[in-house]
Amino acid sequence: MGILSTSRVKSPWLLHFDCGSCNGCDIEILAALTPLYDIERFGIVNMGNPKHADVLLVTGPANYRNYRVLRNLYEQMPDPKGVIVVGTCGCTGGVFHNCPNIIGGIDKVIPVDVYVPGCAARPEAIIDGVVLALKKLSRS
Amino acid sequence: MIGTLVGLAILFPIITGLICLLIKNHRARGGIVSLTAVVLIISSILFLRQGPFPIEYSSASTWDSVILVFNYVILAIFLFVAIRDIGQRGISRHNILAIALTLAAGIPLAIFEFSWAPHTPLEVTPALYIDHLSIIMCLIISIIGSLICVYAIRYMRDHEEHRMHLGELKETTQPRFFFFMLMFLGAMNGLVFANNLLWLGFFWEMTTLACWGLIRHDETPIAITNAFRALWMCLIGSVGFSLAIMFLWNSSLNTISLMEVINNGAAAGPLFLLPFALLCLAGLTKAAQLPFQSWLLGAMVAPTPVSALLHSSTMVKAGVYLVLRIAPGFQGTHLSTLIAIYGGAVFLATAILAISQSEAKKVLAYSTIGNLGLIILCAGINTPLAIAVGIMLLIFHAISKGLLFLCAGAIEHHIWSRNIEDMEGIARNLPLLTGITIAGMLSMLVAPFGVLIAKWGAMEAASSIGVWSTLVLVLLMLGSGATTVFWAKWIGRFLCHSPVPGSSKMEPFIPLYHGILLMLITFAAVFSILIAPVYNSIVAPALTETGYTAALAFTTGAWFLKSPMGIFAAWPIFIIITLALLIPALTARAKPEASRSSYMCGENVEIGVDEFVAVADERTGLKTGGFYIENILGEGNLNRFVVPVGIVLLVILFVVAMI
Amino acid sequence: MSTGCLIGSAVIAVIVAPWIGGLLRGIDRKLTAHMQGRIGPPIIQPFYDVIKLFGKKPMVAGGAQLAFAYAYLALIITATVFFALRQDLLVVLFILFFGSLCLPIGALSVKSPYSQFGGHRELLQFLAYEPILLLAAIPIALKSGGFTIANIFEYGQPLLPHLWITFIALLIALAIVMRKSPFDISSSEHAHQELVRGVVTEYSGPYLALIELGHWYEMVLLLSILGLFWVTGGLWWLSIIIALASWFIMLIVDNINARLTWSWMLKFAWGAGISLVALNILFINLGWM
Ligand code: SF4
Repeated sequence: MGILSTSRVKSPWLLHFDCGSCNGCDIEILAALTPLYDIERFGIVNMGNPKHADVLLVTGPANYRNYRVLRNLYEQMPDPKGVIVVGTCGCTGGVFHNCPNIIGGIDKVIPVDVYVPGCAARPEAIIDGVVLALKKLSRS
Repeated sequence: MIGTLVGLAILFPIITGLICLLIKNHRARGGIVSLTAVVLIISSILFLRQGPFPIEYSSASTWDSVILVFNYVILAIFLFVAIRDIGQRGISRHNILAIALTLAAGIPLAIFEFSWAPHTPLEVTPALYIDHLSIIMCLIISIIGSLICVYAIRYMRDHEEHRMHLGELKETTQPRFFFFMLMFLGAMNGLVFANNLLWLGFFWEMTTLACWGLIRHDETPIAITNAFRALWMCLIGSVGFSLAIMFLWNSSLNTISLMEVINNGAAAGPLFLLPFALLCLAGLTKAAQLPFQSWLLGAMVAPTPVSALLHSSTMVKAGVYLVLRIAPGFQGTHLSTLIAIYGGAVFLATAILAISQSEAKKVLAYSTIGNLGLIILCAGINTPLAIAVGIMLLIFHAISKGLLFLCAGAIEHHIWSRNIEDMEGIARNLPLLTGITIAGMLSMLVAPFGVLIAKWGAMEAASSIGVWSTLVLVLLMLGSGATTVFWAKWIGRFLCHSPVPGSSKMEPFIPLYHGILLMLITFAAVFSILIAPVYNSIVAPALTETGYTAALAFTTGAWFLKSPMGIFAAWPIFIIITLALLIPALTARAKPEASRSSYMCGENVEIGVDEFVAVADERTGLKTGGFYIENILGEGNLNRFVVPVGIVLLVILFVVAMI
Repeated sequence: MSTGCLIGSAVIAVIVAPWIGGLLRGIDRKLTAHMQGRIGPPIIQPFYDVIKLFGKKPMVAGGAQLAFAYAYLALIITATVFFALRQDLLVVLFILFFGSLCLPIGALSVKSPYSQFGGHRELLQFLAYEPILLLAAIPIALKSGGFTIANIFEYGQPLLPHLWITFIALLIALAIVMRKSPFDISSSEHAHQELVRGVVTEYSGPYLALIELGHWYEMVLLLSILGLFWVTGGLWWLSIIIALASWFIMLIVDNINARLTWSWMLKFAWGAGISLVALNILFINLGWM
């Protein structure tokens, strides 16, 4: 691996977007930031700004209300970038499947690289997902 | 030769001004103005090449009588217009004060000239005293002033077309306008050459007259009121003049020759500082220092070339010129220290007030007052270094601020607004004009340019005056911080726009706007690069002639300027900074596909459209604005402190001068 | 020192400063994590971040944004060079300020709510620290006999015993320049999200990397200025200790404080910072120090 791809793997900055989840998975994501899991030791920082982010972490199902926002945020992230969906409802619609306002999984709106299933997904699984996404970044 | 040059500098513009008064044809008037400009520029440069300085010149004694008569004519005009104003608009504070102060200035002068003086008119040899300091002023007046007049040819045409379009104006008033402008140039040249205090006073009144006439030019009620305010405030200075003349004649000095007063001031007896304080008062009113700043702010209603010529480049400079001129007379006194503190206070107060202003010309006005305060601070520090810095500031500020006013005028004629908020993102449509304006602002603000070199010198000079330097320095540093804020904020407003889809187009090049602006910004840059030769060829001689040791100010090398305490590597800094700025500015271009809209929490609509989706999916315009912190830094709030502080400082100034 | 030596030291300064700056940032993050009971990222993390940023595709949101990012870095490097050449301290500061000013102007040249917000707040930070730094040059010059950094070296005695009051004021300024809590008014480091990233919100990828590099240079330059307080008179290594100690104080202050309002910052900086330096100048002028 060259120095650039090493750096990409070592420094993924996250953008966390809640598409309309039940907040279960969001709490798990925040748990990953606590001293117990301390994802900053992998260089992961929660950025809150698409322009600085490498990885988009989405929870909740795609829906007609805010799919536009999701797409805008995705477009405002500079390449190379990855998208991780956290939680079953983001992967497929999950418990919200067939609701009238729901489009379905996030991949109906933007391309998704990694799916982290679970209702809610555990912090370990989330960290695993990020590591998987990094593999994609290191290749690009 | 000298006589011809003096005539060209003083009389020629007055005569062409009178001709303008008679000419109704636009083109012919433009021709006359341009001719005057060319003649003035050439004659001033020829004057610089005359030598050896100082030149002492006395004209035929008839001129003394002419000046005697016209001095009272001008005072009579002041009385007449004020009384007429009472008739037209009723009694107001401004016209009553104008009458009272005209009488207060005129009556003592009449008593002096007709009963005390041994003969009327009272002659002084030499009547004119021309050294490098006068020549520097003359160059500023003749070159920058003339360029401003040429710019005004186009400006006034657009201005009047716009006003006729709005139905505010029926018939052109340009003859009167150019009469005052050109006459003013002559009066200013006279002012900086005069040695006879009566002559100086006469030219002083003449500039006041031009100032009054040009502020009220548009004849809106507010313009007329502000013109009277300017009139009476400047007349306070004239009262100071009259009193100073009477005092000097009655003292053991028994002279009204400016040079003699400066050189032997101390011989005038125990109260010898009083005439200096009175002359300073005249200078401070003219330079619109605290608490007289309101007249200059009010003067901003005038057409922009007026603001550029009178209210930044030249007339207000007459005030600081006088203070710089008489500075050797009070060197080493407490009065000097106090003047330094006073200048610092003005610098700080105006810099902070400028942050709260959203009207372009008012920001420029405050910045002008502040920089004049800085020059007065230098005069107060009164070391060779400080005086050198003061003179350099005089030059560089005249160039940069004249430029900025003209830029503001040109921008106004593109967007028809003077408000900074309306200038948001104009870099997109007016790239050349905003480019020049931003360069002009940087020339007031950052490292390689002359104004900053002068600021640097002022800081080093201020550190060497003992205990009181602490206060002066604190005022200076805080003021310089606040100055940066209001300029940077404004530059930001110009540039604030979304990415342009497609390539941006240059606005049409208007020679009388863009050409003159480009000339002035080139002056600012070239003079800053050539700061060492400029210093050696005009500033250093000016220092020597006014009695300072130039060697104690700056020493220069091929590429640096050295003060007694520090060094400014002007050349390398200029080159490096220019490269650091220009290369990215010219080359750093993103590809069109790299454009994204700004971050609006994902609610942005599309690239290049400043809208976001708000409640009920409605597209809502994005508005951004500069901060002005008006509730804290606004005039209403701060003037409650600033004006009393100004008055108290002035009172202390006089108390110190008397003890 | 000979001209050759000076130029050599300037070259070394330009090359070494970002390494030191980056390492300090890394240690900063590590120590902060430890203070919060976390393990924290590796010490060389900032280098990963910057290299990664350089590798990203450029993206712009406003006209003049890019030019100011380049100018920011270029001018701060220029200031570093002039510092290493032992030029006039005021001139070094002026160039540094010009550089620092490019950051808010670049932010203001994007029509973006967060960037405007951050840009204006950055100007307020500037208003708070600029006068302190400029004023602090005065007692140094009064004591060492001149404004150039060469003068300080020639002075031959440590400055700190005479100028410890100024030194305290400089620490205040340093905290504001480094945007450490409680002075992280314009941009937040720890995902304080109501500002997003304030002044750097609209900078991304390579341009953000330029700004980060600029920060490193800026920090090293300011720490070096603090180091000047004990650079001569034997024990020259004390200057390094002093610089590092000041840096460590910043870190602790950062970790035990929350952000405060800009008006408080301005009052504090102008009130405490300026009066401290002013007192120092007064004492020197009165011959007490
Ligand atoms: S996956 Fe389950 S826990 Fe997670 S957001 Fe969806 S519904 Fe909530």
